[in-house]
Amino acid sequence: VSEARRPDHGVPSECTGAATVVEGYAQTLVEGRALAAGAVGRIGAGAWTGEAASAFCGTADALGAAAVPVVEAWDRVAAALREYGSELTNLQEEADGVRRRLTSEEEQLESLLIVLRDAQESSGAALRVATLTAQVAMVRAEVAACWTRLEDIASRRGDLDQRTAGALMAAPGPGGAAWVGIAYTPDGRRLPDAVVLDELLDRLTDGEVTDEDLDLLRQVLLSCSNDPAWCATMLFALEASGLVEVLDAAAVRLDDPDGAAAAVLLGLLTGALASASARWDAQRNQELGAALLDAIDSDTSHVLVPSLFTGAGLDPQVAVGALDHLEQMRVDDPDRFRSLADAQYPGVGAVGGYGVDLSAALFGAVSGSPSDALAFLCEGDMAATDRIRYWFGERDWTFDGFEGPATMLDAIVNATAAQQAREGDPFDPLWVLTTVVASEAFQQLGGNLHYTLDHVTPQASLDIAEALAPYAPEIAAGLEQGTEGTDDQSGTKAVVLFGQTVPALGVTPGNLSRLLGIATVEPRALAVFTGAVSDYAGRVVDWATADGHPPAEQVQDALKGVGALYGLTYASYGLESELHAELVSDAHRAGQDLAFMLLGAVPGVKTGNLILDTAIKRGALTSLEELDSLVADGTLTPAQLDAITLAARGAGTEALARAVTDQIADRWDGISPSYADPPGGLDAAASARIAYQDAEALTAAMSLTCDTYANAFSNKTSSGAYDVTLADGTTRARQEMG
Amino acid sequence: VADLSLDEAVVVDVLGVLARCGQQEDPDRWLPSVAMCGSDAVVDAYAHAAVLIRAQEANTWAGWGALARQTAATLTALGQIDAQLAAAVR
Repeated sequence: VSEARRPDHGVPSECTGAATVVEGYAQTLVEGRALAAGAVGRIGAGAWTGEAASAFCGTADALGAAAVPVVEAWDRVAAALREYGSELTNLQEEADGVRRRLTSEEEQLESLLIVLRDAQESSGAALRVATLTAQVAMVRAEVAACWTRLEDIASRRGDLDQRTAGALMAAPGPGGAAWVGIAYTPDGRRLPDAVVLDELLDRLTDGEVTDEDLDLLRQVLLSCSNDPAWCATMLFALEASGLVEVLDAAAVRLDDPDGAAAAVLLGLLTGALASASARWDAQRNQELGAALLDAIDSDTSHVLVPSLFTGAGLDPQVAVGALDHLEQMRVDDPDRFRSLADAQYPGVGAVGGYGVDLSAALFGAVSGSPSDALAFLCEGDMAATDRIRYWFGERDWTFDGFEGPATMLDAIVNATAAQQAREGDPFDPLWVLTTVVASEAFQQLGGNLHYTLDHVTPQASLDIAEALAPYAPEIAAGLEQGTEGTDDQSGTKAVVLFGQTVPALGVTPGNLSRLLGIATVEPRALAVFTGAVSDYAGRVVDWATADGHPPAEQVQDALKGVGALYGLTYASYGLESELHAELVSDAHRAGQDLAFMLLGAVPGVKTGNLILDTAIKRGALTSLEELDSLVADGTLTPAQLDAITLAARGAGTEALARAVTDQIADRWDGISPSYADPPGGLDAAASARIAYQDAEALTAAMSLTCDTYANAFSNKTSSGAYDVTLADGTTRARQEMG
Repeated sequence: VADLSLDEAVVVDVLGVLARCGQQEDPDRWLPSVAMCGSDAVVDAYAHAAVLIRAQEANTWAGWGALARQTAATLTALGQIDAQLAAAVR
């Protein structure tokens, strides 16, 4: 009876107080997310660039997206508790009134019954008894009415309890209740992982992946995606086939109105795989990579699978296994290969697209491990020519803007181990192999018919320039000496640099010019390569003017190499700009030439790049007048500005040759032995032939070579040595290359 | 590489922010009780939801912390590579 009188029992303030605390949790998470997003935004704004930075931003974005459903879940809990507290308060106010009335009526009834009993025991009170009996009946009716109202309140309280419990159970979002049912005991304790995992996998693999399965998995990953041990166990048990099935099902939902949930799931899965891969050894990661490709059903959407390979922190061995397997398919099962590698998915690669090209993703990921990237392009200690021919010479990378092959080349050439090997011994096997592979890849890429100005992204251009830049000296020597000479000991194609034999870059002039020209239409790529050219020119000047410098003939050869390199660089981008005039504005072209001259006027890679960087950032690369601002703040000296201004009236190459000549002229009087004094013992005619009276005389051949190469490489209809060689071995003039 | 630029001071600052986010993770944090609300169904449902969402919240904070740690390790590796390169070309 006591309980029945209090259907509204409970402490509403406890619920509203809890709601306030939970709202605080949500708010803290919102603030944390904003803080993280603001911080990561500084990275996105340019404080850190490159592939690792992109992966970092991608992962941070996914974490931010995953925080949203958690905030929403807390908000739903808070709202349910607050509403419950409020409605319970209302019920209690209503029940208090009913109870007061009930108590009053019950007291009145008790009194009436006493009076009635007395009346019934008295004689001659029949009328009074009748009246009292009627009054008792009325009061009893009032009491019953109060109880009815209390029962109604009890009923509404029951509804409120059920509604609130339902809202709370649903607060985590779809799949939450299922996950709670799997992972927790009825009293809220977490079940052992093994038990949970068994049940979870049963649900996920009991047939076609349903929406409910995806919701469940999202809840699981929202709880556990940053627990590497859990992720490793779950994903290993799910196997590649299960993972791909989940991704395929999620891909279908991406376009739904609730596509955000599927996007969150993709981000969580990518992160979970990355953390799991850190716990697996190389073999297991490689096997997983290969198995992922095998699990792809070519007839259904598999747009999301490539994205798995782009996650920050993913062990490169996963991509290594996948890329090796893809290459094996190319050879053994071309149909299957084409269905995977040539698939074009809606949304992929487009602005705002959510997918990436499989081959591009794999090339990018494998490049994270330069030694594996090099191994992919080798057969033993030789370049894998057939493989390189396909991937660099034949494949249409338009979809990816050629970023895949460019990234891989950059990674291989600029690998720390390779550069250290080169520094220790130019014929170190690692550097020789790197150069042989890079030569073959440059050769093929320069002859790839799809590699055209409108198909290459700025990022790819930069990577190509970066990959070519370390070879600027070898290119200079190769242009003057040819690349057919060999090192006596190793039999490797070789050239002579600063009196030392080094491996040659074996790329035909036409292919080299096209590869370089297309890349260097991008200003930053031009800055990178021209910086290397200037650096090399500076080294030649130092070498030629040092005490006890080499004989004049060797110096002459090196200077002619510098001239040839300048001529090649200038003509390569110039010809490409001319061939694609519709894509390159006059202002852009003027800026290119100005950048070229700017770097030439200031030999030394660091100084030149600093100036060019400043100029590009200020947009001062469109006219000479704007360069005044660089003098005003001391970035450029007045003499350098004069040199550039004067040179701008003539050919670009002239400025560069002039810069080298001026450097030597500045040091002329201190050069020992003097170039003006030939060795003794020669007759007058011979002495006159090898004596150079001033810097102009010493560098005359360099200037001539510069102009010669500039003219030769500028000839779009030339044939023979300057033709481009295609993957199939045929040749074409530059203007026929599209 | 040319496309790789890094303002270390900014990146370290950013990682500090993420690391502080990571420190918010506290799986044992107190959850407010509603035990006296008067409904066992509500108490049970709240307990299940709150425990689950609490785990998800902790996982979210942990994600930022893990990203900060992982990136800091990458930065250290980059620094070592830079030093090796500098030594190689000197």
